[in-house]
Amino acid sequence: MTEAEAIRLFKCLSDKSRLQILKSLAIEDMYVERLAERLGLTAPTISFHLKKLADAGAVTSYKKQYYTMYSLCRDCFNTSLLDIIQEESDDAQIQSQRDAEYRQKVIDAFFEYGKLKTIPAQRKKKRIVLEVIVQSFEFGKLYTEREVNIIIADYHDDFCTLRRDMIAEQLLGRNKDGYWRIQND
Amino acid sequence: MQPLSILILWVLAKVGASMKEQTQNAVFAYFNDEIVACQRRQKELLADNRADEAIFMKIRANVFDIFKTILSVAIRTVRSGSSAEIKEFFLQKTEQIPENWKSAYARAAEHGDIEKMHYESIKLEVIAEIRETFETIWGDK
Repeated sequence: MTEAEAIRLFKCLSDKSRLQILKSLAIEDMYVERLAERLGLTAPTISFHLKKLADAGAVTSYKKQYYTMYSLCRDCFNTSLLDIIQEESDDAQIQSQRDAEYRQKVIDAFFEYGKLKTIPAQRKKKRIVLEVIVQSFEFGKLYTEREVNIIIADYHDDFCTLRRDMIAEQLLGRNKDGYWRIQND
Repeated sequence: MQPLSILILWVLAKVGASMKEQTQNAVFAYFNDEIVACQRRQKELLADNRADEAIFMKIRANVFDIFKTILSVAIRTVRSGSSAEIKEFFLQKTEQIPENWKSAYARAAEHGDIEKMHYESIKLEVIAEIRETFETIWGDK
């Protein structure tokens, strides 16, 4: 378990309702309504907590007839705390984790269901957003301006600004024949 | 007009105004009670290490607070002071404002975003409660 995964799990566990859900699932696999009845919470609240637990790797689900059953992810809990704290993490790894977390935070803030909500004003954030969009372009393929616009318009209506910014950030190259994705390190 | 008739009209006007005030105060009292209850429950949940459920309570309190403000605006905006017009203004807002919440809920459902769906459903539940209570207190229900 990496440091980031451990932190996510601990954060997720620091909630009484979620701990109670896990205690119930330690007895047997259950579906949402059963957990709701058992814990005196509403079904949507249980679903909310189960989603968080699933994201942290603490529970898994499977289909059984009409129900989605939830079960405790025992592998996750078989890891001892000592194993977690003894996990080595060098500075470069920590830095790279921080960068990845920052990147994810920016992506979460500016994208909603794959659409760009607004174009970031800050260059560092804009670069991250553009790097996400450029992933829709294939390497080694030449695109016409119209094709570029159509791809970018899937993310945001202001495709002109974004197209120019991608050129300026050297994510896309351009000449008289068209546009292409630049290979960056 | 006879002095007695004037007196009767004056008394009726006063009684009418007083009833209107009583109705308005009852709705404000409902909002205040709900806000206080949500805030109290929020504190209890936080103390019980249920931070996410405390946030749900905060969302509920915020919706009550928004519509308390809207009722104040309705009372100030409707120049005639007519009860029916205030009611119409307020109920119109209870239809308009949740439109964004409904579309946000639908978008979240489309993408299986359970967290967002839950936040939006809390707001929609509260607005249904507000409409129901408002119509009961204001009358014509």
